[in-house]
Amino acid sequence: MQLARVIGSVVSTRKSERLKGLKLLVAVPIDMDTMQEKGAPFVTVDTVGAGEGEIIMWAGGSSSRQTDLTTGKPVDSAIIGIVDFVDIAGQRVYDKGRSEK
Amino acid sequence: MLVGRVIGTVVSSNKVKSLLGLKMLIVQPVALETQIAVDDYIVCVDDVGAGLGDLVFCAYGSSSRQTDTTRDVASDYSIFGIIDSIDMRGSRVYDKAKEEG
Amino acid sequence: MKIGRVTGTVVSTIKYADYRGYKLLKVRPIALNGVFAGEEVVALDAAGAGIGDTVLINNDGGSAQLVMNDKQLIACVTVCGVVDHYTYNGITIHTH
Repeated sequence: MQLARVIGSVVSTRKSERLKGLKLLVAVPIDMDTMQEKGAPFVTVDTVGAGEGEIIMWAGGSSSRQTDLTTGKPVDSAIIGIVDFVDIAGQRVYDKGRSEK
Repeated sequence: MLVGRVIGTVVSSNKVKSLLGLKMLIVQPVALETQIAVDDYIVCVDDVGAGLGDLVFCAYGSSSRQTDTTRDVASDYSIFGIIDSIDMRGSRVYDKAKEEG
Repeated sequence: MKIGRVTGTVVSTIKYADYRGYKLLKVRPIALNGVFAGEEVVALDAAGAGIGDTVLINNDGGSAQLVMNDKQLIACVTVCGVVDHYTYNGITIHTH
């Protein structure tokens, strides 16, 4: 699993029948050392109701099809959690509550 | 999910049985924000009737074989949707209607 | 999948038993303009391809199992088709 920040969304009306109803979001990877955005944005499927600005956990490959929403669907990347806080070596490097204030 | 633009087609009459009757398209991966080409082309199985110039999203690996058309097909990348629009950080970075108009 | 060209065959007498009877090809991916691009790899042939053919290279282990109809197979790259022609940016390339 990796961390990323949701920064946008993708709309597609003509898509595979099995993807109907699933939300596609744009996320950008978060570097765990700095908690800053690092790398190219990518498209991922939302299974938890994530919103723009939130830091999320995502899984790739067949692991992304292990949720109730994505089972048996042509999904290779899915958001599987919204991050509340991150502690590294005893330091709180991210706190969702604080960053929203 | 990989996002790219359809730039061509591949025709092969001598191929494995499971690929017979399926359309194979050449997809050029693009950066989400600018839709400028990044990386190398990929040949994808088309599951949605995409056409030349369409911005599409694809799934990789076993995820590319999860629909009725692609089940048990020798595919490693399949196109599962045509993109209408992409929003990033509050602004619309891609709009199919505007591009075509 | 990538488009590539068959550059040779690979013969191995002592190999994993599951590979017995399979034809192994040396293939190298090409850029769309036809020049070689990327590393040469060894692939299982599922399309009856020969040296010089332009082929479809499938780079997925799950696909390899489907193509060879063997759920136990350990393989990653298969040649899934011989390309007749391809078109990109309005240019058609006939490959044989």
